[in-house]
Amino acid sequence: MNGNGSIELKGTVEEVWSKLMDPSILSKCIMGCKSLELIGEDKYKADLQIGIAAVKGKYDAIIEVTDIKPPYHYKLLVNGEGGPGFVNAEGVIDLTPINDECTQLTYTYSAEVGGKVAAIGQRMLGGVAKLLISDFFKKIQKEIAKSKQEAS
Amino acid sequence: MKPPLFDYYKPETVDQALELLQEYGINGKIIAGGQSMMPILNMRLSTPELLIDISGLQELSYIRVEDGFLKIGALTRQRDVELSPLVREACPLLSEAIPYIGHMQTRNRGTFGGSLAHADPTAEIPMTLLALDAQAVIRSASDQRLVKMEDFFLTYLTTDLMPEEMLTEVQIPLNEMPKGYAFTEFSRRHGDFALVAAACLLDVDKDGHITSGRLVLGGVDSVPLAVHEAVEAMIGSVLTEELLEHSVEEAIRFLEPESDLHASSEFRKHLAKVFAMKAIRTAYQRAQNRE
Amino acid sequence: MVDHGIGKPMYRLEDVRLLQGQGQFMDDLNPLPNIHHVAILRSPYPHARIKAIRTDKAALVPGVKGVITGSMVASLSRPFPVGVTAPVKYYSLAVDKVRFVGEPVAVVVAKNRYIAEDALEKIEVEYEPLPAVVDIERAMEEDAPLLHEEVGSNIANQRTFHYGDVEKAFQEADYTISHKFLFPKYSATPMETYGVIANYEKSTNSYTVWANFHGPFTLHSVMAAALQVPGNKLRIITPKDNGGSYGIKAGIYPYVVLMAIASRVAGVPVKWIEDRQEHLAASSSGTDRVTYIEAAFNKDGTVTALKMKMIDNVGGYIRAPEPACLYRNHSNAVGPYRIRNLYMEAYAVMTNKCPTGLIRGYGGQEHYFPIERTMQMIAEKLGMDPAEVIRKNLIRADEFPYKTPSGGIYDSGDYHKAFELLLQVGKYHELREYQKKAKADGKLFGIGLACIVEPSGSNMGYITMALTPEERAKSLPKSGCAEAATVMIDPSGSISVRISTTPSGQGHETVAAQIVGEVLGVNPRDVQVVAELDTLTSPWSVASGSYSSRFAPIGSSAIYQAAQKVRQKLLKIASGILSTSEEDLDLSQGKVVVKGNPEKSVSIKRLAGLSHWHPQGLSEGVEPGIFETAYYTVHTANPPDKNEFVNSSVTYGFVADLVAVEVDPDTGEVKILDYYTVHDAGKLLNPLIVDGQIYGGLVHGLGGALYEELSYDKNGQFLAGTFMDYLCPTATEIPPIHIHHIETPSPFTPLGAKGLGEGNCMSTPAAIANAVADATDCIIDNLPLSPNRVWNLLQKKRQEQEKVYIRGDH
Repeated sequence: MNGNGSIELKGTVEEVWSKLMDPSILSKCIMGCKSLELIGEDKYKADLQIGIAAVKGKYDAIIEVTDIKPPYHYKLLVNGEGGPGFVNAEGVIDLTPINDECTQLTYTYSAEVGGKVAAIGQRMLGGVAKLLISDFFKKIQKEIAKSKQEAS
Repeated sequence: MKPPLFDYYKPETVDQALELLQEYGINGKIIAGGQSMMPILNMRLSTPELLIDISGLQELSYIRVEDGFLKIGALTRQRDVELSPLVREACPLLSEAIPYIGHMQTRNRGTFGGSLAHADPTAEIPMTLLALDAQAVIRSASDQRLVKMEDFFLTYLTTDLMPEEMLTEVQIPLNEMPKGYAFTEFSRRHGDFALVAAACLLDVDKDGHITSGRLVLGGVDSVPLAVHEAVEAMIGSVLTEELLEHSVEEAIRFLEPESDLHASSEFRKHLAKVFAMKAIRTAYQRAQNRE
Repeated sequence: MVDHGIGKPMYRLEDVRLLQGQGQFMDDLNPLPNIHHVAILRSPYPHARIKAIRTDKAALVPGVKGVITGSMVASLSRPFPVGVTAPVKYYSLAVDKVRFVGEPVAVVVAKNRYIAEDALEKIEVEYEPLPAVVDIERAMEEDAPLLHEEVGSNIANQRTFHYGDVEKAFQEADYTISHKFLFPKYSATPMETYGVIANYEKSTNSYTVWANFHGPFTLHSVMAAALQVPGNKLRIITPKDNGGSYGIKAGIYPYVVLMAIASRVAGVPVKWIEDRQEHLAASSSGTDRVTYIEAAFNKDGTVTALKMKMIDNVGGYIRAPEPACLYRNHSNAVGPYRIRNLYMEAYAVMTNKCPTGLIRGYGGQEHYFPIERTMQMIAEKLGMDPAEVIRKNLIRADEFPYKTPSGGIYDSGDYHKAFELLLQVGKYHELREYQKKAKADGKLFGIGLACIVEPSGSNMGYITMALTPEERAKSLPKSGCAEAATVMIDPSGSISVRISTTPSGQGHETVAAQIVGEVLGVNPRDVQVVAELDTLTSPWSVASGSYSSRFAPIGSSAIYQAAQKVRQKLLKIASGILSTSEEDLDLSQGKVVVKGNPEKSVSIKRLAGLSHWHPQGLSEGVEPGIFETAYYTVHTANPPDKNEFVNSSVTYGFVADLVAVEVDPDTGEVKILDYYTVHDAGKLLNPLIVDGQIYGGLVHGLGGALYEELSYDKNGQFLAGTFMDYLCPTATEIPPIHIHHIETPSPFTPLGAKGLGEGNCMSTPAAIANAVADATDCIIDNLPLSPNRVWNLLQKKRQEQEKVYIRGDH
């Protein structure tokens, strides 16, 4: 599954960048993130609950921030394993300034889902993946707007 | 394929069921006909703490006409709706759609409300109710509200229902029920999930000009999709194949259905056009016949 | 009363218990106390190294008796032997690598399946994913991901065969044609999935296993070798009823070994009932195949030579009995046609998909699809009616027994008679007339024909075609198709039969009773048939089981021979009592009677009583009791010779199909309007059962043609894990089917019977493909013909035609 999208974020590129790098914001946005623990440089362990409606599964995930080119570009790698199968997703994030107050975030992603959920969820897998990923970025948008508001 | 441990309770009244939902919230799950819930449980795709079996709440099983609405209780079995002369008389679109749901055996158990609450994007009941501009009665232990179908479906398998709420009734407005109707579907085999489905309601004047209409497509988005423009663009005109094709093509131009094992995005979009046209054509003929 | 002799449509004896819910299937069995239940942890990755497995948390779940991992399996068993020289190590549990999605990785034994599945969630496996390959031709490339390092290549086996003079034929022919065909991976989906109960007896270091396995019992030695025990320490017992197999339950043997080891490790008897997801992902299936086919033909439509390069995908591990998928049809490779020059290249390639095995049709559907499509393409190229091309090439009635270029011996047949019958009952010429009008109206109406030779009764020798003649010379020769049966009469005079053909729904009990009833002159309903096979007490051999449609030619013959032995004994004892020589005696209505003088008789009951109660009264050399076993094989089932000639089956039937379809141009949906099929399976033993088998095989073939596929994405992820996505035809997809028979008895079997049931699995995909090609004027070379696939072809054609129109070439 592949896709892309873009959202507008409040703040300058530098401001947005530092928020994106903030693990407490990340943990609020990554789907069903119950805990986020730093285990190495730019590497986290997380308990994720991924799914839609009642159909959710628990995944033990490793989340890595790589290819870091501050403040414009990085790659997010999520590798989750759980009862329903595994999820390997890769997202490339690029920031470009719109003006003094807003930054454009464009993303591309590719995700591989395997195991039981891939074998039985074919009809909805692509759509749900797209949904969850855009949901992540919407939450980022919300969190960044919120923290900007709190700061001011 | 065995489910994980769960508690089970079979409430005897609707109030009891609602109290349990209030207490357990997101950890409680209603089971009615079980046609969606049992496979989900057995495949361990969902792990509720408490299963609330509402199959004993016969007070939620009814079909009646009241205050200008066709009111169907959430627990009414799909098969009962299928066979109901009241439904056939008041709302033939629904009677035409229900036989497409699975097989007779599953319809004997599956409930009307269960299918709606499950909100599968290809399911017949959700999309037909959207076409009928129906509304849902939603109750919690402390509250009751009405939600229109256009606000009810949020995304895949997700509705406006909060964890402590239960769908108790569906109300279909009967005033100005259009005379033309059609439900049509394309699936690989009889009883399968639809690849694409279309539900249409349409009215004409005595000279065959379209006066109003609604079109809903299933299987093309994460929710049942209203594309009323496909019919509304033809208001005032008599239906011709050219006009029909053009309106439908325009209305679905933005559609980007997902690809899956059974249909590519391109094929789905093509099927959406074919079946939207088919539904409108049939609804138009019926509207003329009943005029 | 319905007549009940051999060949009569007697209602099945099995149905009485099955229809009353009194069948005894695997899950009904509880042969031992303290049986625990198994759940299997399976790989979500198509290809990965297993870096670590941690089971301590799982073992602590209350109710768990044991957890088994690959290292235990590697120490308690050896890799399964397989009939190729490539050193593939296949264990019943993944050891250091996983090679397909669904491959078993760990086993939990617990008080019940619920707890076992809870414990599965607590097992932690560290995988290192590796690149996967599922495309057959890609897997053959040098730089493709390698599944088995010790093999050095994904090509598990490769052989080349040359019969006649193919090059000369191609040079001399008026035309040649070549094309590439793909055949999909699909399965059989019995209602009852795999089931195993295994018990390890520490005191004797032996295993007892109950399983709905049905042979071939060559696999018994494979299992015993893996468990490192002699044959008599692996007792396999099959249940009374098997809820369908269609070949797929032959692939249960790795799970038999796995459960045996699980029982040993956990110290309790274990039971595993496979669920549907497991069955679709990781039981077994037919192969998917790439075929490059070339044909040399003349302008009158006669085909003089065939070249076929066949590449089979055997999945993550090549396992017995593969690569038999490529050789099962070796002797009938030219089908029903008089083609004398044949060149075949056969490859068995491993990719990251579920390993393959027996399935109804076994290689036939993959084989005949390109050939029958090619015959129609030849007709199109020559502007001839496809029926005429077929007619020109069919083997003639006076040529039987017919020796095929690859060493096959077609025992009997009248292909032209069957084919003309097909065209007559199917009203072929009227259909062609109708087609002209329909096409003029813009309808996509098509007619498809297919003619195939249906092999039955496999010769064990054919498996060694995977080896070169030099390799064969070094190993134990294999031949024959031995099957056994026992007929016995107890002291009270009641008759029982023990068979080793392990039926999975084909009605063997009924036909066995019909045969014994006729030979011994009794009512079949009084004959008790025992179909459960027990390797310690049944008469059986390597070829025993139900597969390759062998009951009719071979199984029935063993029963017949055993019954004859009993008959002879009864006549012998009776001749003394009636003072009449044996030639003047007959068996009828439960008595031995004097021919022409039926009052002079003695009952079977009395004769049996005498043989048990008064053995001293028997004449010299006659043993007490009545218990006769016969082992049967067919004399034409020889080992392959050094020139690579082999007769891979002992009997050969014929199937001719005609199908009319209409394709919806808007949706690509294929609607089958009518299906006609003519069968020649020699003498039919029970026409009711026969037609049931044919319906089943035909609908299964229809599934392969239009609906069924075990789909994987390009990364090796398995996509068809439930019946939502693996589509079997249901009652509503079945078209009108018209079955007709002719019978040319086999000269090689005592009853003249040949096997059947697989035929349409082999012919229907080709017939439907031909019909859709005829309807759409598109080249059909890939299945299944889903609406999306057909619509894509129609779109492509429309776009090409538009280009032509725009260019002004019209």
